[in-house]
Amino acid sequence: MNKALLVFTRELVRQLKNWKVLVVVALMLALLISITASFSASVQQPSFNQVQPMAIGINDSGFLGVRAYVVDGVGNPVSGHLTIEKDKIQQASPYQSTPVASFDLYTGSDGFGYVKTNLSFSELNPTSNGTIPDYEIMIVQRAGASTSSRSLGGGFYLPENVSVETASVVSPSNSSIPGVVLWGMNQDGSPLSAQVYVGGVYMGDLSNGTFKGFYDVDNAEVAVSYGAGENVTVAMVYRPQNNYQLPTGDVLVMSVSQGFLSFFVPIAAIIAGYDALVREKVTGAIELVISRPISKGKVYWGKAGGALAAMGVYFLAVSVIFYLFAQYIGISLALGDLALMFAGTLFLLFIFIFLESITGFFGRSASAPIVWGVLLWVFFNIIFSILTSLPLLLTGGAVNSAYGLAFENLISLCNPIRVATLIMGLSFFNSSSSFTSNAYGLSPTMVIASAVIWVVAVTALFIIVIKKKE
Amino acid sequence: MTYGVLTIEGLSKEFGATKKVPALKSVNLEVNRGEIVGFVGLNGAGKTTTIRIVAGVIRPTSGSVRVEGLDAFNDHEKAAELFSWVPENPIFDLGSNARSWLLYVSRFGSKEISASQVDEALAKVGLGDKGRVKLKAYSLGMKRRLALAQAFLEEPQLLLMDEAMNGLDPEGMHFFRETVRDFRNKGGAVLLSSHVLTEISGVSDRVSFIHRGMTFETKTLDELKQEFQSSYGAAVTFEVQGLTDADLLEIGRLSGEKASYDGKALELKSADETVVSGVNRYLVGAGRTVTGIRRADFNLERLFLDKVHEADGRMGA
Repeated sequence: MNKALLVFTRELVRQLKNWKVLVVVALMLALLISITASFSASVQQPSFNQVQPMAIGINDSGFLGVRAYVVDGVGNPVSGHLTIEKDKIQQASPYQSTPVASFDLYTGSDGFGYVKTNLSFSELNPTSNGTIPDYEIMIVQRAGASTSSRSLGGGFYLPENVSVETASVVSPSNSSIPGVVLWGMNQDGSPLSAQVYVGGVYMGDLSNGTFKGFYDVDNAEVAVSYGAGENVTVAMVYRPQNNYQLPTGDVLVMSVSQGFLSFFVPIAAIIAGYDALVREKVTGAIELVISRPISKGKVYWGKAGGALAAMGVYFLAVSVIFYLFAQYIGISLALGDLALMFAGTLFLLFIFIFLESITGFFGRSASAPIVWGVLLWVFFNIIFSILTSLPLLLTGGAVNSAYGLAFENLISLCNPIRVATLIMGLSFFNSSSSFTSNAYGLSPTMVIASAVIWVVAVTALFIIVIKKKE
Repeated sequence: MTYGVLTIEGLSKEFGATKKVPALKSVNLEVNRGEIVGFVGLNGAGKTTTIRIVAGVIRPTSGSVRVEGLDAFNDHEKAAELFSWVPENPIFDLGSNARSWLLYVSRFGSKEISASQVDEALAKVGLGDKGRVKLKAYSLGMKRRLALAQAFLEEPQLLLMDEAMNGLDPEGMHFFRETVRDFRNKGGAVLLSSHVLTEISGVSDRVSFIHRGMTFETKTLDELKQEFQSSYGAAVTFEVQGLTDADLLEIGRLSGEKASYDGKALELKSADETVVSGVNRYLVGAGRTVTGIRRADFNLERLFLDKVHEADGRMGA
């Protein structure tokens, strides 16, 4: 067997068992999957404007106004207080330190008078200085005398033409599924005995204090039926079907490549480069191999190449899992996109494994190459971005023109992380407006050329260092 | 031109990129077939640097190293087929085990090494039952044995041993000594570096001295013994207790030199049989109990230190 291939194979197997890399890759995969899932979920959630709070308040409780039911992502009541505004006059509910189901925000005896016009809920503070990111507000308009039965949905009735806006977006609980969430209780707190019909079909009962979801009810009438003369409160949030849009492939690829791969891949590459070559070099473990009938160059190339191949195997698996997951949740990614994602990853692995390997020839201690690796990561992930923004900052935004942006993008090709993210999105260059604007002034040819230059430059540097330092 | 198994000529090495630190200035050495050459020097004299250059681990600044006529650095792949290196502190891939490590490194050579040969080599160095144990569990002595197994696995012509016997227990020392002798007796050449000079003098055929990066003398063990004899052969030690200043004065008069006495042994640097007899008669006559009289044994360490002092003088220390 070729001697370099022998070193390569051994290093490949060794790095596939490298627990540090395994941890980084596993962490990355977990984050990739969970963030993609939540990314998908957040896209699927209706935006603020798309939530249509609908309420029916039937009570004889002695006051008129608004009652808001606020729950967290899993349907539990939250603490805090709620502020409403009408005609720029704010009114806040009392702060509740323990979770409460509802906030009474207005009574007829207070300054707002009868609720007849728009109300906006501007704030929900679970504490004095924080907010809950995901919560759901169900608004009940209290309007007067009870009726025996009321129909929700298409024939929904709001007394006196009051519209209510929620202040924030809904919770993720069941949020990926269109439909209605209902809540109901009797005014005296006793369980509500009400039946829910969707499109005329009985769907189940509401029970006191329980939020109940009914899904796939778009364009269907929702009706809540209860006994005549009962005083009940029923709240509903309706999520229409047509608001659910999955992200497109370009959005997903750009998000993943810029947010995760550029962060994790260099870390894994630096660890692998260090463990494969640098550690053995600085500790002297490589010397018993070098003293054998094999040239140093073959040992170094074999080791760095083996580490690259092992990382390639890992990230190919990550890419395939990611691809399958994207398909599973319904995001369309072509195999070509997958190939480009992998190509960008491989490029990044190559650059950082070899750059880290090169540091091993200069380090005087075992820790020096680690510091070099960290500095490389920090430089290309953080400092470089700041540097490329300097012209914009120094000129007070004067270069923030099309030319300025193109210039900044051109300079960014000196950053291998940026080049890798561009490689990953090559197929979207002309098909995606968001990608094309992100890469304004660049072309696929320029991206490929810069990648080739990077590979050639790092390879040449590696060869020179082997020759000069050994 | 004919070469020994190992021929080193005018070897020098400087470390450092900007501030050059000379580690070797001029090393000249030859090791022939069927010969053990002891490589002797103080710590930092340049022994390890020389051996690491021969092993191809570091590049020399100037000079040449030839193994069976092959340039050890520029023709490393061929030259390395002929030698094996046992470093002072062998460092292995600690995640590996001895068996897989030996199988791995043996594949770089042109000889086909089977798994059973690896097992034999491990058994030979006393690691037969430790072949599948991770190397991170190995002691230094075990690592040295493994390095020796690696060294012998491919039947080299030249063995480079760098302080390989340091820190070994008596059994390990005996094992190494016998292994090296056996290798020499079968025609192998050995360059054995150590600062444990009793070990060097016990196994070496020739000894090469290095000081401050320069080899300054190489002699056979017989030549060194003769030299020692001529320098210290006339020295005599009387084992006697209770000598007074008056005794020492009289002994000085009888021997013609100032005797040294440490309370247990009286040493005369140069004393022929007449002087020995005269001093002995005096001591017995004075009522002192002489329990032994002996001539100086060959002591390489003593000879080496004298040579180092001389070399320092020549080098202007």
